[in-house]
Amino acid sequence: MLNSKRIKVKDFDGFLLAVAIVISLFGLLTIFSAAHSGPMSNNKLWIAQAIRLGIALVAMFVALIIEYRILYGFSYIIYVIWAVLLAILLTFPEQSGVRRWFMKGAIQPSELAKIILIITLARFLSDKKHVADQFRIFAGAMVIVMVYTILIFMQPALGYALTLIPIALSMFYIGGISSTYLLLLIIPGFVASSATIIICHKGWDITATSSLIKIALVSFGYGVLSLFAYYMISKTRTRNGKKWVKFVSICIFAGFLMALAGTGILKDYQKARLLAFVNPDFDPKGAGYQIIQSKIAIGAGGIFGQGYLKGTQNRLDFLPAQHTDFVFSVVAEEWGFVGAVFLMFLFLTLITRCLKAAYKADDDFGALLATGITAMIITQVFMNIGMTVGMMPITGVPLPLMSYGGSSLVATFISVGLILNVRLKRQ
Amino acid sequence: MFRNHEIRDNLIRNKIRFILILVTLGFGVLTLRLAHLQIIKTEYYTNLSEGNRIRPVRLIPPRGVLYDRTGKEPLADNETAFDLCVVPDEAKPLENPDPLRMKIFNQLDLKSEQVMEKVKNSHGPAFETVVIKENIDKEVAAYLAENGIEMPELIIQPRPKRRYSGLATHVIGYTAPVSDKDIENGYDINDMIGKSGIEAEYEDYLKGDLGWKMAEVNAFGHIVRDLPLSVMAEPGQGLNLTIDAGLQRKAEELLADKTGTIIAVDPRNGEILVMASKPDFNPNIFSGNCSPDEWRELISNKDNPLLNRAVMGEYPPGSTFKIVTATAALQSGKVNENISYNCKGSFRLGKWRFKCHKRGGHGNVSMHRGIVESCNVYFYNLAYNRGIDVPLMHKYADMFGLGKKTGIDISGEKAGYIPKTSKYTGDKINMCIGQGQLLVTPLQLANMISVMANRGYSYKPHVVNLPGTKPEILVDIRGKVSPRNIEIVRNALKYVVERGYSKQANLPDYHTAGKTGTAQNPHGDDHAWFIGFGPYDNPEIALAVLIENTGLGSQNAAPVAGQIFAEYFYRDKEDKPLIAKQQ
Ligand SMILES: [Zn+2]
Repeated sequence: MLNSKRIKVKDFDGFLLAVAIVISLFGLLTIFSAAHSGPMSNNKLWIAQAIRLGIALVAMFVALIIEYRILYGFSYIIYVIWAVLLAILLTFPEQSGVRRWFMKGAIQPSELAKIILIITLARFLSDKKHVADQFRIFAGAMVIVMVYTILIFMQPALGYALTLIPIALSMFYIGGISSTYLLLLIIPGFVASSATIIICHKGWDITATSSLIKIALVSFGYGVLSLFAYYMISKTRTRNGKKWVKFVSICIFAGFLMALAGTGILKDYQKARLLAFVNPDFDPKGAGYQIIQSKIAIGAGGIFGQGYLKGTQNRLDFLPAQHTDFVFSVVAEEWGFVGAVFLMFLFLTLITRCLKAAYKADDDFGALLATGITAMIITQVFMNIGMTVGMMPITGVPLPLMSYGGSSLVATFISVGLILNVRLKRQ
Repeated sequence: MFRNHEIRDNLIRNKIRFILILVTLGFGVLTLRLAHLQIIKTEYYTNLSEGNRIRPVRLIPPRGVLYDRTGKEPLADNETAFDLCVVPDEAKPLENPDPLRMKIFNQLDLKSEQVMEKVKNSHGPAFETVVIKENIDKEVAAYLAENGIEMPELIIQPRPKRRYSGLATHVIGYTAPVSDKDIENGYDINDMIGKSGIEAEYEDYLKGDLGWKMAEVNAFGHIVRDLPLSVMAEPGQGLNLTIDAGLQRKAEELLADKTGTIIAVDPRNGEILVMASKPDFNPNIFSGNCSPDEWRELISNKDNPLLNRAVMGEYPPGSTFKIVTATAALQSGKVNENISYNCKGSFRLGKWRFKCHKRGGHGNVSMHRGIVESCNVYFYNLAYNRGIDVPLMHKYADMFGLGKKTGIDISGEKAGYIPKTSKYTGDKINMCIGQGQLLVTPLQLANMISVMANRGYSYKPHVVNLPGTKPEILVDIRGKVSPRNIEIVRNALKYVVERGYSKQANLPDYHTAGKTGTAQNPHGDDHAWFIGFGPYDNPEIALAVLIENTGLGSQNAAPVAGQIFAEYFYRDKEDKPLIAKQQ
């Protein structure tokens, strides 16, 4: 059966590729608009991005033609090599507080790190599919995820580190890890992120006893909530009462610890962004500025937009980082609700076609690979658009295929290439 | 096997379907959010978007003008200064050499690289102007304002700038850019604030209230149009100082090449007529374009031009202190005015010899002659033989307001020092003639002589009369010292000027009174003192003159006082006596 495999041209998902290219062309158009007028105008930016698009297409082609099961074989080795590389990167002197950029910003290793993590996790989960001890699978997968998460978080690239969590969750889900363990991730994550925001917002000094009491109270509140949620979901509640009490306690305790650690680890600008997310008026000229200006740009776009190259916010440079992180705001300002929804529709189409590859994959590795990659794209799209409309904190995650910048574009087209590859290798 | 495969596939497929449902729901939420922003609240955000092009512009109020007591002569007022600015966003053309701009830069002593550097280092928003040269030449400013179209990257910004007449520099003080602490207290980074003197003391009156206007900016941050919505700036409140500009000018001329201070006060109300301290400084250099060299020179100058000697200088009072010793001696009842001692030119105490300044001695000296001729030996005898000791002299010095701040409305006043107790006999011998550890400020002596002028009381010295305030009594010894004793000392002071060593402080038509002093200076030549008042019967002016490092008070300070008296009494009169014509 394995020998009879051959490539069928009709399985090449040309529609997926077309959608990806359309989105990137839309991105080029928007970058041109974002950089074309105003005080910081630079008419060469879109040319630079067009060249990167060419490179990205070549990279995609390479990802498409190699036998994707070869990646299966090399995955652990590449994983280790890249982890060492990320660790070495941490020893580099800081460039304006951030070490993300490798060799004067030419390569961004975190972008490729995500793909390598997905491949490795896909192999691990598909290998261990039939292992009876669920905990061993879960623990092993967590180690694989946490090594990269911590290395990327320490760069510090909070946004990139956060995108790894939904990727891991979706792959665990597809990989068959029991829902108990997924909740073990979701509940503390929810507790921790909410508590962190509250602690930052209230400005509690976590070294003071009275603050610790307040934090404990907040955590307790979340604990009761999560307990209730788990009680509603859990099927084991009638069978083993003590088990879920223990389980939920661990969840809450973990979340509590993570919140404490989070407020200690977060840099001041990261806390400011969290605060600005909760209340943009908190610092209208600082971290809140970006959120407010982005919302103004989007809101002023109205239904049909102000017209291409005519967005006021965009033109006058009131919109910060309008060709990188806030490119969606430019689209929404210039093309209005109609344009923004159309762009989201294109992304939904892209995601649907990607999931279809996972759906139709004929082995677990392929399914897991396609799911992980799709989850990566989904996460980035939601984190970026959510940020521009003020529903998510500012994390500096680019909009795939749209935002100005080479690493993200190349990484996304490699992802698309891999998806096409998984789809292609059907009998 | 196949069956298992099928089941597994279906399980995964269900999960993938679930993910797709979640994603679709997510896009649904985002669509609702966009609809909320772009359809329901679009008007609100459109207004905000337009608001982005409309910026509030600060209207800086003119600072309150400081006039002299006549209200006619400004001591500190405002002029318009022009700053050359660029908007960082629009600095790009600066990279290309433009002959016209080069010419202007040369004229302003600016270099293109320097300007680029300044623009690069500015931290404000890119659309806010950065000052690249402050206070440029008015003609260049006018030229640029007219020919702005050719060089849109250069912007001229007018601002009110403090202008000082240069008179009474230490009284007026100066304004300077705000410090970090001021910004914490609500000042803007571009504000100027009073840093010393009246400028600091009356900052709240002088600064006025900030106004705002709304202005529309174009794509490059230039103001294209002012909008009607505005709050006018409230100019700072002007103040009339008690300073007499004419007399002040005369005093500063007299001190021009000297180090020292002159204070003139109206004893009838405590108003300061003159407060001159030399050397002084140019207060205009603090307004922002003070070069580091100028600054260094100013603070490293050993003559300390920033020191307002009138209130911050502390000196031994020398023989002027004999007024205190004499009052203490008479009022304590330990000395009768008729007791006399024989002065042979010195006084022996153990192995030490304390000298009188008249080498041959004054002969038989009573209280009156002791003050008039300032015989040290007479006072040594009072201290040594009559029990006029340190605690007693401290009590009377304190009564006269020495050794403590007067509370004048000028910042930085010093208290001086009057010893209270002593271990050695020599201490009271030194103290009774105003030497030793004693330290007083010239203002304290001006106040003390005002007490004598008023026959027993003085008003708190001040330079600003705020509406609704009355002069406060500062010193009142009338209940503690008998009028007769005051009169004995006061009368002697008249003879000091009439017959003693200070004849140069006398005037033909007006009786003046006073006392000289020579403050021993361990670091160099002695300081010369003269304190006095006039006219003797109904005093209108009291003076304290200190000239540093010139020796005897009678020869150096008294003539200066005479000139001030003459200027005060004769300036409006046709036939001035010889002394008033001297320069
Ligand atoms: Zn004598």
